[in-house]
Amino acid sequence: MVKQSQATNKVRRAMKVGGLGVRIAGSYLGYQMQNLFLDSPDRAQNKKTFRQKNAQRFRKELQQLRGPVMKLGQTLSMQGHLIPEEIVEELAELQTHAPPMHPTLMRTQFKRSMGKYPEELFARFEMEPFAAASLGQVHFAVTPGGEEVAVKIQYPAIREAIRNDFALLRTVTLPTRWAKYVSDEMISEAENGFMLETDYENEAKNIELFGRHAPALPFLSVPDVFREYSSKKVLTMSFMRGEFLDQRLERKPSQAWRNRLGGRLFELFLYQFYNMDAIHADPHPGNYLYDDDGTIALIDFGCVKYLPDDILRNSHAMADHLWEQDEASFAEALQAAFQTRIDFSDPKSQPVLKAFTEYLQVLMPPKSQKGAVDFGQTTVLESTTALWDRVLKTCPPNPEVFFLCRQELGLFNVLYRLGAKVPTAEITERVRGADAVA
Amino acid sequence: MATPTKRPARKRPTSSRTTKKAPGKRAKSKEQTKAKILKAALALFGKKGFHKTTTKEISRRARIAEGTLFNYFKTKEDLALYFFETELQGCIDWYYQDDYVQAAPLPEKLFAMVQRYLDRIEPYQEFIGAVYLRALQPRSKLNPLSLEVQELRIRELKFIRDLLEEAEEKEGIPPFGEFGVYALGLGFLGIVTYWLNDRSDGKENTMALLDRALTVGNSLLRQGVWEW
Repeated sequence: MVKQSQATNKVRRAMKVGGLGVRIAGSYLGYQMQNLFLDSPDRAQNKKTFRQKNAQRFRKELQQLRGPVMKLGQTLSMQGHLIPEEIVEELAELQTHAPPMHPTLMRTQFKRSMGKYPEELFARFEMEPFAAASLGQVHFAVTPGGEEVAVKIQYPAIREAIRNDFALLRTVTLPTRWAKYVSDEMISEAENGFMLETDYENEAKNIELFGRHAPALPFLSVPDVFREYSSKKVLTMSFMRGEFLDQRLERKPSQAWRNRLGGRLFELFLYQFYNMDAIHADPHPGNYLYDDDGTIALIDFGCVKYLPDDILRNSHAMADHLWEQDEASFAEALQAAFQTRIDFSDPKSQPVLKAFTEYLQVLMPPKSQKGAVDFGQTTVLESTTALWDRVLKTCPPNPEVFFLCRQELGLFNVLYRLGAKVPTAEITERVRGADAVA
Repeated sequence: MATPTKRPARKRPTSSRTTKKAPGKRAKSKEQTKAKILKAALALFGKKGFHKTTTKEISRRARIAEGTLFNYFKTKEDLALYFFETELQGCIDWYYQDDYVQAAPLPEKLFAMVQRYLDRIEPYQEFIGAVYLRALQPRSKLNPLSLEVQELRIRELKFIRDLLEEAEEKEGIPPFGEFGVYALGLGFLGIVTYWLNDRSDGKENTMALLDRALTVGNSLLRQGVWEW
């Protein structure tokens, strides 16, 4: 009986894809939809977070509504602060589990971009990809010089697919409970973000920027770009070793390791915030690899946000005032940074101001703070999510700020899963005192 | 529907109609002339279009008498049929000569072959589009129900059947039967039609569609939805 109903479901799903008709070929979503047909024994795993049921239901709703609305799901998953991180992970699954291209197609894509087949350029090239990356797939290879590299090859027609999906997204009327979360600017911002991610030359630049800063953070490992094997649609970088967070956590690392790693992730974020005008804006756990000694390797640089000067200046001012515990100046800086309609001098806004202060103080602690913050408690994550929910319903801030916040929430989520205790004030003092390397 | 009978595995079937016998000397020179005419015709179709090109121009370009042309091809439609026949045969021959594609799993095999076929016919898109339009006329020889087209189609379907039977034996996929043969043949026609209308850069949309269709189709097949 069970078998029968599964088969029925499969057929029903097949009909759904059929309903998308010819457009499926011009849709990024088409790639994701394939997942519905593929066996995924590991999908049920790692779903023990506290809102998993909701998250799955949300994804299913999106899947049922198909097409552009599912694209919206991805939009939302890019705007990680809008919805709880567990939902983001569910949505991200749609993105990271795309099945590989057929080998002939992969080789064709490579040759069209690089002029030669991969096996002609590399001393060794694995035809089977070892990972799905943003909008492409990654192969292991060895250069003629003997260096081990990861070669990322983009799926075909991906730019047009994104354009199509967003064009359609703009024409549909969203269910009201989602519409209030999503403004036109945000949709455009998301589209631009996606488009930028399809440009691997841009990603190469991002990697090189982080590479220049890496010496300031001894625990950070950034790949080298191999320009001679890279183009707009092919990106070759040094092969990085390590484990993903989930894999590492399965081996039950010690609390000391968790704390050390948590501290380093926190420092990495602060360093970007204070010393670079760019933020690695994709907090997806799949973008980091961890080593036994606590080395952190960054592996995906498709989504790096370059923050405008005014946002940076205001955010820095905010951090400074919190550091010095100057509440009045903080409220002003907050207003300027978020560009919201809330008037923080109004007594009625005091609860929101208080919530903001509490939330931001986790990241930007006062210098008087002693000891470590326990990120393993759900309170930080929950109150943050609740705060954002409230803020977005009443006064959506400037979309630019979203990227910063998205990274913050991503960080909180990883620290929560690590159960790390982090001496935030101590680290902040060190980063504030240090000079940028690059 | 007849249950498919098991055939022994073979590298290159000698008795199958999907391959040709080695031609004799006379037949060889005949083939050469036909190829010469086709080449001249394709060049002109590309320049002036299928409809506007006359048989006189073709014979002049091929440097043969117009009467000789008629000995080989009665009409331009015969020429078009010959074109498709050549391309199909080229594809089949390639399959039996290419070690990689023979050893590949079925979906990859199909992808590689379709892609190769499309690469080959790429320069003649407009001509093929015109042929498709012509095929809509009931009295045309290019009409899908004409005996000439049927003959070509059967050759194609038999080749597909050979591929599927091989995959059944080697990869243990469930038996397709004739339904599978027709479905794949139809899918192929669909892809070519989509490809003709594909305006995306480098026709990447077609590649993406083919890629996904084969992945999804293969997965459904292996999950047994086919039988269901």
